[in-house]
Amino acid sequence: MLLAVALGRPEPVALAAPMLAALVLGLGRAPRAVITATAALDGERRVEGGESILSLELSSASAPASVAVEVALPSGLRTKTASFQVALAPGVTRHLEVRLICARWGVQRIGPIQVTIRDPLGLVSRRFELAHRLKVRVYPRSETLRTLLRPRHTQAQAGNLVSPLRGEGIEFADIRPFLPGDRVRRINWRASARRDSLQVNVQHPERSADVVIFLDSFVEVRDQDSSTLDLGVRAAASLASQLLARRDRVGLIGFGGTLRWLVPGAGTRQLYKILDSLLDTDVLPSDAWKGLEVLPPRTLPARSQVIALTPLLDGRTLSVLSDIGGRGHDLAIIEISPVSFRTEPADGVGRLAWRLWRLRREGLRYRFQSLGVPVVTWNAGAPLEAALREVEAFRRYARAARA
Amino acid sequence: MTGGLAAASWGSGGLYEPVVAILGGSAMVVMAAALLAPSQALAVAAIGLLIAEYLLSLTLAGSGIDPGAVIYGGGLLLAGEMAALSVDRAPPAPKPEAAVSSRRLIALGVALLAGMAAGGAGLATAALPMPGGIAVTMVGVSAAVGILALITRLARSSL
Repeated sequence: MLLAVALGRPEPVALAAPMLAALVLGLGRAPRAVITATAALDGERRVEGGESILSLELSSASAPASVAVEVALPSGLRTKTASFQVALAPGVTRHLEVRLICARWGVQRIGPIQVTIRDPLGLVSRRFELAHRLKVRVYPRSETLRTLLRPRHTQAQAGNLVSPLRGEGIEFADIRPFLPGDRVRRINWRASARRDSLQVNVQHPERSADVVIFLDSFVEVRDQDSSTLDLGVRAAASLASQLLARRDRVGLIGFGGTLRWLVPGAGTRQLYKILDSLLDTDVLPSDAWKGLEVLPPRTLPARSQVIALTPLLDGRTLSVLSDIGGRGHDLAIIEISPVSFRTEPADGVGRLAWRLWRLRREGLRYRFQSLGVPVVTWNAGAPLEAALREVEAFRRYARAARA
Repeated sequence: MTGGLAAASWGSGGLYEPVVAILGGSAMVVMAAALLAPSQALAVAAIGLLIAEYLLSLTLAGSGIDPGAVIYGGGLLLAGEMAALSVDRAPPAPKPEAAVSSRRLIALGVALLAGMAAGGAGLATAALPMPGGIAVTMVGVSAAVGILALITRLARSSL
C-alpha cells in the first residue's frame, strides 16, 4: 500500500489485497487450542524382528485444530510412517498408531515426539514436545543350537553333562570290587557271579560346567545392515540361553572401551542379567591398555570354559586371550570375520595391502592354534552351529595329533 | 500458474520488453527450482520476481488503471499457496488428512474472495472522479499504516 502511495497508482493495493487478506485470516485464526497429547507403548521388551505399537492420543479441549505429529525414531526401529497431519475436533480424542519394527538389538529410545499446531493456512504454528520418553528393550534374536561345545572340565554342581569322573550317576562307567559302605543296589550280580566276588557298578556323575562368554567390543567392522558386534551379541545371547538350558553356570565378560562382567550363575534370572548386560554393549573408543588383571578373579573360575567372540582386531584382546589360554582355561575362539564386511580393493596397492592383511590374520590364527587353542572363522550369514562344530572337529584333530 | 502470470505482463513493455520478459522467465525458472528443491525461500523469490515484473510493466504501460490487477493479485496468492502446498507435501512429509486439506482450501477461498473484493473496491474507488491532494494522500498513508498496525497486533497476539 505504501508502494501504491509512492507510485501514485492504485494497482499495488489490488495486487496486495488477497495476500493481506490471507495474512489477516491466518493471524486471526492462529492456533489457540489447548491440546492434550499422550504416548504409550504396548510393551517395553521385544525380540529383534518383533513388532511394537506406539499409541498416540490427541485431543483438543476447546477449538478445532490442525495438528502435525512427528516421532523421532532411532535407527534400530523402523516404521512406514512416523509423522501425521490430523484435524482435531473439540472434545474428540484421536488415536494414532505407529507400528514399529524392532530391527536391531539394544535399548531403543523413542523421541522426542513433537506436536505442532497450525492455523488453517499454515502461517502460524505452535510446537511442544511430549515430556516423557519411551524406550523399548530389544533383545538379540537367538539362533537354535542343536550342539554346544563340550567343556573339558566339569564342576561340582549337578547338571546335564556326563562327567569323565566316576561316582554316582546314570551313565555306566566301570565295575569295581565291593567295599564296606557300598549300597547293595549297586552290586552287579552277574559280574559278581562270574568273578566269584562282589562287584559294584560305577557311574559317571552328571555335572554342570562353568562357561564364560568373552565378547570383544573394542572395535567393530560394519556395513549398512550389520556389524561384527551385532553378530557377536547375537551369538552371545544364543550361547547363553542354550548353555543355561543345559543347566550350566554361565558368565559374561564384555571386554572393550567399557569393561562389563557377570560372574557365572545359573537359571532364568542369570539369562536376563546376561541379556540386559548385552543390550548395553557398545563400541567406545579407548586407548587405555587393559589386561587380564583388570578382571575380578571370580569372573574366571578355575577350570572354566571360555568361549571368545572376537573379530581379532585389537591387540589388547589378543593379549588377554593368550593369558586366558596360558592359565589353563578351556578356551575356544570364534573369530567373527571382518573380511566379509569389506570388499577387496580394485587398485594394485590396495589389493596388495588386502592380501597382506589377510596373511597377517592367517598368522594370528596359526599362533593360537599352535598353542592348542581352537580358532574358527565365523562369517556373516553362516550358522553359528557350523563354527561350534568346527571347534569340536579341531579338538578331535588336535587330540589325535597329540596321541 | 507462474507461467500464465508471467505471460500476462508481456506486450506492454515497449523498449523495455526484454527486461519484463527476463523477469517473467526468471520467475518461472526460480519457481521450477523451488518445486524441485523443494524450498519455500525460492518460491517466495519467484513470487517477488512476478510482482517486480508486473510493477515494471505497469509503470511502462502508462497512466490508465489496470482492472486486471485484481485477478493478478488473486493469481499471485494462488500461485504462492500452491507452491507452499507442494513444498509442504514433498517427501518425506506425511500426507495430511482430508479434513486438514479441506480446512486449508476453505481458508484460501475465503482469503482469495475477500482480498479480490477489497482490491476491486480499491480500484473502483480510484476510478471515481475525485480531486487529489495532500488530504487524499494522507488518507492513503493512514490506511497503509492502519493495516500494518492491525497485522502487527494480530501477529503479537498469536505468538
